[in-house]
Amino acid sequence: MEAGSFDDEQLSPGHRRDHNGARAADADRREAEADLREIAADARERHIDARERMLDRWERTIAARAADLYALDDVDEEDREQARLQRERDRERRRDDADARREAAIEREVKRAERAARATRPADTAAAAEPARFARLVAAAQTDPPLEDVIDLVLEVAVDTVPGCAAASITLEANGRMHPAAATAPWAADLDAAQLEVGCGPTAAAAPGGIVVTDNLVADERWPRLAELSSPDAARGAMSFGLGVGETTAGVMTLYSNLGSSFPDHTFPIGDMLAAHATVTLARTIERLTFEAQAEAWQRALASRDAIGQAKGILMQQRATTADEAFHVLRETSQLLNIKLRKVAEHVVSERRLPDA
Amino acid sequence: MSTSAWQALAPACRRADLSIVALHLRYVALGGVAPLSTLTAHLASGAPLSAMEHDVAVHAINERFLELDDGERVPYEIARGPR
Repeated sequence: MEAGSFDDEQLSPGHRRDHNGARAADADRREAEADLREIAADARERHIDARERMLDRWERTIAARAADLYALDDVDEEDREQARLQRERDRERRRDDADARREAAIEREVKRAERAARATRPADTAAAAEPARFARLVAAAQTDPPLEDVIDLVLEVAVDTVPGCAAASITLEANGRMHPAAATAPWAADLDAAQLEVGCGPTAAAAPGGIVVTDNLVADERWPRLAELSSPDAARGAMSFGLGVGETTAGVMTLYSNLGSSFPDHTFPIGDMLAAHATVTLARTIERLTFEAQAEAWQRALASRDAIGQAKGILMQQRATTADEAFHVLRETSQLLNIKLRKVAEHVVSERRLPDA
Repeated sequence: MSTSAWQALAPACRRADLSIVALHLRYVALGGVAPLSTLTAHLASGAPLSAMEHDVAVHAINERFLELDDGERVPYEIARGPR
């Protein structure tokens, strides 16, 4: 039934509920897409900030060296300072824009959770999704907690909000393979691992943005190999949600029902919405951690470059030779001693001579 | 530069499990001055890169083999005798 294609007054209560549910699902998808666009915008701005900070450091280094050589006049210094101040003003403007985007994202999350709460049946009100629980996920993304804390929070919210959910688990992608990352119960992690090992089941089959549901893991004709699972915890329903951006899978969230039961249909939209929240939250956290790791790597690279530059300068002065020749001396010493060139350079800087063989 | 020197780099990076981005970072850390696009083009199609800069990239790969305790080494372009 397409949203908006019927007059609500002509619909039975059941059809009206389905109609409203479809409209809410459309709104959820549009907002999830807006969230993903914001993630991409945040990532682009972080890269711009990092590049400009590196430009600032390079300019200070160049200016210091030029000043040492008395090659810098007041006009050059003033121009560089003006350019640096302009970049700082641009960074502040980008930070203000990012704050405004995050506030809009929080407002969308709260509205989404409110729609989910209205969509659940009155009998399930006590177990229905509450806006505050989902807002915790968004708030977590804003405070930059460790990744493991974010994962634990996602699973906690899943068990609290999805009716009939006995446990929840997450597997994450690393180096092209899926690995169990966390679970609210050990048996849930074992079921994830078993599915990944045999390569079948909802956890193994969920694609980015997709959902795979089964009423019974060991009795589903799609995956006869799972019937061989001997665990007493396996005879239950499950629904797995692929967490990803575009075609890239970041992970899979799997919800397991109580033993001997399965998830009723009306829980699917709640799980789907939770997966959308989890995708946004995990994507922000993983993006931030990746950016921080890259920034640290560049800082180490610049420090190494600086040490090697100083060592070359010392050797050039001692041997009255060129910069290229000085680099070759460092390189050959590194090869001969089987130690990294940076270590050789650091020795030259501190001891004013090459390390001994 | 010898015609085959640049051709040895990409396969060596694969054996060393070194992406082009990671190689460029290590290359910059050693004092290399070429941008990522130039280094990428050099590995892919032999785009011009001075022998000196080529050897900086070679040393970055060789230091990765050293980390992996792998005895493989890529030969340098600028051959040098005993000092």
